[in-house]
Amino acid sequence: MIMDNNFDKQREHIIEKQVEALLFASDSPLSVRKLVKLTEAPSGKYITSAIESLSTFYAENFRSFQIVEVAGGFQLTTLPEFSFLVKNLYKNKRKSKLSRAALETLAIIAYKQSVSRHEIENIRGVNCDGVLSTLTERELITVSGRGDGIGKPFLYSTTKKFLEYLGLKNYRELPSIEEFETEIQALNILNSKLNDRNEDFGNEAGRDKSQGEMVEDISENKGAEVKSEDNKSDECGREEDQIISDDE
Amino acid sequence: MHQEFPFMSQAEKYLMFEKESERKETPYQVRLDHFEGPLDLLLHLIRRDKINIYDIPISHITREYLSYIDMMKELELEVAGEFFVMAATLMRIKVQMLLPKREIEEEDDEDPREELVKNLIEYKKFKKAADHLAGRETERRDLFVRPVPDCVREEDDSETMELSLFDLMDAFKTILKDLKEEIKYKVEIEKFTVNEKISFIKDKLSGNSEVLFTELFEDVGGRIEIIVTLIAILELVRDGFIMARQMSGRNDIWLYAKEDDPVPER
Repeated sequence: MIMDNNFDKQREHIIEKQVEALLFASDSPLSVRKLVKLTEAPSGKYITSAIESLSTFYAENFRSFQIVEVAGGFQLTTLPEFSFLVKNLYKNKRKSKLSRAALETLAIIAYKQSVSRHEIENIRGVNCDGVLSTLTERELITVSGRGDGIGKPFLYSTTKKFLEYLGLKNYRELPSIEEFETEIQALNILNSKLNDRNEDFGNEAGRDKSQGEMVEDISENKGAEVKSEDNKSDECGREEDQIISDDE
Repeated sequence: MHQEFPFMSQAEKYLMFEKESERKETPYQVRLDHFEGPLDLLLHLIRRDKINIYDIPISHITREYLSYIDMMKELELEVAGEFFVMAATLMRIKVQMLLPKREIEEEDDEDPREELVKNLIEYKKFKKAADHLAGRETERRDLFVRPVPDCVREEDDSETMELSLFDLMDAFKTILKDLKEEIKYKVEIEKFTVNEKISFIKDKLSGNSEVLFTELFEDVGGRIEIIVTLIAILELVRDGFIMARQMSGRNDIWLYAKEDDPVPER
């Protein structure tokens, strides 16, 4: 029995080193399954405990790197506090951050999966051709199939690289889309309350009231413009307003 | 048009007029920085004026919206067609809301704004999601990982090339040529279906990560089965389930299953 135990300890120790070597040499996250296969460990438990003990070792010895769980696997990365240092190493060689348009498109694809360009464009209200090819080039999305619609459109899905790029363990780590809706509703209530208060304190807010605005709209053209002169702080200015009102 | 820029000299105006390409490029970028599209602009106006998104004062928002478009035109920004479509939509809704209530009720009870509000909320949800992704991106970019070691590149894409359907057709021709079967003129009942072959190939690829193109034709009996097999392969390639690659300078074509990512649950 003691022999067995000893053997086990030794085995564990070897596996720990093997896991470390593999994580060090790999350019992408390694899954437990893959690590089991490569190290020929008896079970995944050996791998997870090796990763745990390595992590503890790095932390206790104040190493500059860590093991993170990402995209269904494990990866060795530098600690965030060294980011400024390493950034200087790669100064101009770093890929740029994703543009706003790219992020929005990526979000739609991430939450919908197997979504056509048309659907994406419907949501965003703009053409998404360029963004889709940028995202495909960066391997964050891929064509995952074809839809049933006219012309069998390409359907896009996010890739493993997407999870890796954003440091996500898996898709469940993303907040649900309903959470955002709740947030929007809450903000909306807050905002319109603020708005109501503004109007109570000063009727000259220079803005339509949401109720009864239709009636006012007709008689508003001349009077409202004068009223709003002083209080409009909009960046677009009053001139444009005047032009539109005159057109009406 | 150019009088709006009094600070510009004649020469500058001329230059601006001359350099067609530049003229087109600059406004485009400006537009990108501001509003991606009509929905983006509407959401901006709603936020700016603290409007209740579920009860949008249509005439106010229409006026503000149009004034923005006017301003964009004045600044000589290229106003994309989508902006005008939205302007028309806004005006249509405005008219519908001005119609006497009863008439609308007879047709249907819907608030004319309903669809617009739905679209705005839907877009806004994904904008929030995009914010979330942006935060994650920033965080993750502070962590550095090791790049691919140089010595591993060889097996990478650099040596293999992606094949088009035509390359597969060429390979198929050789298989047909090799088939020593005399041509019989006989109507046969279809024994093999494309769907069967598709699942056969998928099975084969789920075991190994790659399979030789010719291997799929090894146990194949006759001309019809070969054709059915090829159609199955072509369909799989077209639908993006598998990829075909060839080591440069060699004839073996390998078929790969596209990496299947864990599909999100929602």
